[in-house]
Amino acid sequence: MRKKFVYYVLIPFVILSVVVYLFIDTWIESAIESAGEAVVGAKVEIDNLRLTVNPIAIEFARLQVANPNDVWKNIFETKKVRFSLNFGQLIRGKYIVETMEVNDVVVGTKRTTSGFIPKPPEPPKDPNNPGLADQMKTLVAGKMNDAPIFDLSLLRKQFKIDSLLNYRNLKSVQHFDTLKSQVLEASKQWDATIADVEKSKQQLKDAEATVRSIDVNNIKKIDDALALIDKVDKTYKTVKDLNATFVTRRTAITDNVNTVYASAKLAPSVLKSDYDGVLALAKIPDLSTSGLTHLLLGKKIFAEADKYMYWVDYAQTAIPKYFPKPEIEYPARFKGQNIQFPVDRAYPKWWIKNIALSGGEDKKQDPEYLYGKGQVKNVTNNQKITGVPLTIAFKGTKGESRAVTFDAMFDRTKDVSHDLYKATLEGVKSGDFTIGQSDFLPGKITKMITDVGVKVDVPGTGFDAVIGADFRNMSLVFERSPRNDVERIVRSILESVRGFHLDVRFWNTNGKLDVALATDLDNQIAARTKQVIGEEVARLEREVRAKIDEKIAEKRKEFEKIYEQKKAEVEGRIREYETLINEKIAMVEAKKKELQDRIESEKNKQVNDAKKKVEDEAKKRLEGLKKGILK
Amino acid sequence: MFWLKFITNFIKILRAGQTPRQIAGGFALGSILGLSPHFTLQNIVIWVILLVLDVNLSAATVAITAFALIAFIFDPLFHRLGYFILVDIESLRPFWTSLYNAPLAPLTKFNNTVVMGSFFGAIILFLPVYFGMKQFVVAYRTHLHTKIEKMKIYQIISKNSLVQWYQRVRDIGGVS
Repeated sequence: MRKKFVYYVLIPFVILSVVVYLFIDTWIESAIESAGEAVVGAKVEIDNLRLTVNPIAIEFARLQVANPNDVWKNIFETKKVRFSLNFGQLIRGKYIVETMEVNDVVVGTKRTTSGFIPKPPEPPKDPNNPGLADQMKTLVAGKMNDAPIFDLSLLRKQFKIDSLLNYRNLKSVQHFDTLKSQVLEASKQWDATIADVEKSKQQLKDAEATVRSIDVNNIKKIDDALALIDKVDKTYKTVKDLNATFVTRRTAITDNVNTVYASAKLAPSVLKSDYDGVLALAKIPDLSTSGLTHLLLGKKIFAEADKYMYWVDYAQTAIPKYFPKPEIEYPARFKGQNIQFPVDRAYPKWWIKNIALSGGEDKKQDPEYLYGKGQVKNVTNNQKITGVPLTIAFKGTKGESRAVTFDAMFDRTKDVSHDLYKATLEGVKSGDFTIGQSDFLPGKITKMITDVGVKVDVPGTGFDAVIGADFRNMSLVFERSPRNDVERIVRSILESVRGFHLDVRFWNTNGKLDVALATDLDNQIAARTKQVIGEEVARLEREVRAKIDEKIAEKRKEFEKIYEQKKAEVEGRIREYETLINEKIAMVEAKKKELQDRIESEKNKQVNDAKKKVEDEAKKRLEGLKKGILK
Repeated sequence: MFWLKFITNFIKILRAGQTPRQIAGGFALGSILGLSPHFTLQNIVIWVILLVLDVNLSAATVAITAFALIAFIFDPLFHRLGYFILVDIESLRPFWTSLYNAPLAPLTKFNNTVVMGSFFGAIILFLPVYFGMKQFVVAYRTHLHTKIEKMKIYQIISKNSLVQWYQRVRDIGGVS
């Protein structure tokens, strides 16, 4: 063996290997922490990572993942984590983990240091495709207006319809104003079209002159008559062509006139939107069941839902969809052809097939800590290759009486993503659940036990969440005395019950998030409210509607006046031109008939003359023959 | 200048020093590396053999350079040869398939037609190159050396001012 090889290659190689062996654990630890922080947006800390070579496996003593929304808490914390990598696939640059053991998982632990990391600049949001969290904020802003006035005397006093109605803001009024401008614009087009048609008047005059120049009485020969018929035919064709052009344009104008009129019909949704807008401005209360439930529970429910929307959005963006993006190629002069052979199975870049979670205890921080266990399956960068969705199944208990389950599926195996969540919480003791709002029955449920079931379905950009909650063993405290009849009714009903059932549904159809809230107390509250203030509210509603209808009728009249005027103008000009062209057609047709009659009579005359000549000749010859015989 | 030194060393070695077997061995192993179009696992093995065995490294370097330069010309031939071995020989297909699924196979890039063709070609050429080079070294040392030194082209190059300047610079502080 050569000495130089030992000194210059072998010894440096051994030294390098020792350095790598000593520091590789730290390098891998830092790499995993950095990758985790990039995904979560908060600190990810791993303690005592160790790499083993046979089998290739990684093990660490502790993992903490900070909560980006509350940096002094962890999303979760674990103790020992261990996983081994498939060596065969590792050589191919793929990280395949059969099972990852995650022991002693504790959710929501406190941190001793802040988990904050500076956030990278967020990519600009697509205004046409807002996330669910943004949609929720818009929805809450729309729903949580000031409370309507339930005090009838105050409502009557403040109800000044004329000052509330800003007609320019009414969509129906805007609609007729737009239509008026459309009519004026369309009439310009009609005028232009008619003017274009009228340019052909000179051609009609020329045709008339041609026809008038033909004097049938001057025709001496049939050939002359035939030539003139040919001339009249050409004129007839010109006039007919002009008529065809005119008919096409007249049809276009008539259709346009009819379309403009048809669009004058108001859509019921536009009218409803105007009525609702003015009723809300007047603070006339919505006595339907949903209106009162929104006031009573909406604020708290929306705030709670908003917290979780962030995570639904997060799952939508963080779990990778597969976008086939070929790598840029720099082909060499002749790089050969890679022959593909059948593979046992294809693997994505990374794939953790199974994560087994076992819960840990957290008595120090929370005597009623959450203890649970579960499985996370098929975490990968490309579900199209694995063909299976990411699933989570978790079951836990908190204290002695509370149970929690969480199941989720994140499907990216098809072109349209599909996320599904199911969760249940049973026996949750709560002592701080705000109800009402500052201007409607502000209060608090000081003690209650809640059972909640949630099902969230997110197919593509759609969203459908159904939440059912049972509140039981409830104690209520109200911040102040009721200020009006409706507050009094709702309060007396709530005070008489120890619990109720709440159903909430958030859904997204046609790109707009909507919400429905209902309780089993709604019908009771609405019926009693209607009894007390319903008649007065209905009268005020009628007044608002009548006022809006009056204004709409006025605007409709203005539109119809302009429309009828412009329509009459264009129809008059069309009729005038129509009469003119019909006259010319009739004149040409009459001349043609005159010529044909003349030819016919000329033909008859010539036949009769010939006949007479033949008869005379025959007579002459008979006379001659007779004379010859007699001689 | 680095290459000039290599060529000078190579010519010196041709003249005297290491045995014809060592020079031919280095040259033949270098030819395998030179003909290979990519850096592959089999190339690492050849490098290790080259470094472990007492063969001439200058000859190997010259061979790597020379064969890498001419390998491009033979690329179409290697492609056809590789395609024939990988695709047309039906009886070998099960072997290639199992190799394709074997853990270390991706590092060999064996399924590339040019890699397969050039490697196969280099293995076939190994013995002819080895014996050819050995014969050439022996012949050079006995007959060709004096004839080449008498050739005008050799004298022009050796008297070239650039080469002389290089030799002076090289020899400052003693010849290595």
